[in-house]
Amino acid sequence: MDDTTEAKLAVLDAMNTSLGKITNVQIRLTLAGETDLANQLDTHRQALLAQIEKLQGQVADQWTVKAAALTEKLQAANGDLQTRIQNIKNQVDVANNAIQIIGQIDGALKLLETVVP
Amino acid sequence: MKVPLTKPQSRALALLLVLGVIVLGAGCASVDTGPFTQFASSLQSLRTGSDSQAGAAVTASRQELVEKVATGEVSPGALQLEVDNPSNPYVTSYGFAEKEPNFAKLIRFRQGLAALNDAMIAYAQSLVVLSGGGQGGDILPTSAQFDQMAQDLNANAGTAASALGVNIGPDQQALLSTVAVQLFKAYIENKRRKDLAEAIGEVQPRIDEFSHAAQEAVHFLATMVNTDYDKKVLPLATVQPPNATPILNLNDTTQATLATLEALSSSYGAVRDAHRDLKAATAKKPSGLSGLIALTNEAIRLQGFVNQLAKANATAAAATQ
Repeated sequence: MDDTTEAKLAVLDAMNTSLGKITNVQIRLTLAGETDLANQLDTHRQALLAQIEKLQGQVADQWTVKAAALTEKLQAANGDLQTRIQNIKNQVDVANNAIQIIGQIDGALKLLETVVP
Repeated sequence: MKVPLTKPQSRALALLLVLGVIVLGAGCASVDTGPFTQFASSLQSLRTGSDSQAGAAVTASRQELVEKVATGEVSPGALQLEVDNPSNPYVTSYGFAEKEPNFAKLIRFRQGLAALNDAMIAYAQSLVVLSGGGQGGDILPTSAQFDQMAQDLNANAGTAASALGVNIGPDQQALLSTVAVQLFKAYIENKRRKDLAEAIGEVQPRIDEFSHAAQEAVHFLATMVNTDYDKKVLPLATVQPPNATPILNLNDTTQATLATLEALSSSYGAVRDAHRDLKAATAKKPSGLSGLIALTNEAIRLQGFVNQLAKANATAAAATQ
């Protein structure tokens, strides 16, 4: 693999971390009976999943983008997600935190579109 | 990323076999063949482990495609093969699909990884022959035979390098540089251990590149496993009434797979020091060789994880029946 593959793999790792956290939020919302919020989140989760799969296809086919800066941004977004998950766990402003998470996923997707147009 | 069939690979192996039986009447420097044989044997274990993991990724991706077609997310029309070039009826692709399915890309990825392993194994086996550990014992190939061998090794390595994006040397030889070939030939002609040691040293940067590329390939497989886990855990965790067993089974197989991949990555990492040790192994009384010992241990550890994973998979399969 080429020199930047390591950086690209780091992006995939960060995206998987986001996916894991979002999946956990969706599980909690579903189990709490927050069906509407869970469904809204699911749409965005599916979009993130599609983007991850697209990137994985590109790695398998030697995709070539500069990814290190993106990883940093995704890692920061993951830190923020963790705080919001904690709030949802503690039943603090569940709806608002879930909506903020959806907004963050959209932000991440926009960022990722610069990687895989 | 097109991976041609590795014809030179079989030619290289055939040549190695021939070399094993041709008597050229020339003696050679007495080199301990043990470390070279051990190196080649460990690489075989790595090949088996990595191919089974890459194969599992292909299978998982194929199954997902089947599910997407069943739910209408992907049209069956996208699965029809198309002949790329009418003048070449042997090559087809998923040309009718809006985008090529990931599983087709993963098949090529698996072939690329296999080509990389094959290139390293063929090189390791040629070192066994050069150290006098082939079927012909102390009988070494002629310079002309070695030229052919080097050409084949570079062709195999070139296939792998192009499949996995490995940087090749400034002289565009994927594995054995012009200098390395000259040093190996000097060893064949003069039977001096020093030449063999220098030749191995000359190949070291290429082995470093290849082992690094293999580690990245294994890292990539780990990302596939993690994504797959998050896809599968959501429906299991939200099912009513709640049932922990399928989640725990999924956790077991996922963790066993990741542990196997981690062991595989460590093993590939150990290849660098083990190859470096081969240089020292050409000495009259080699000592230490801790890199080779580490690689052997990693290969054994890997086998343990592979066995554990097989058990976890069998348990999970039994639970779903």
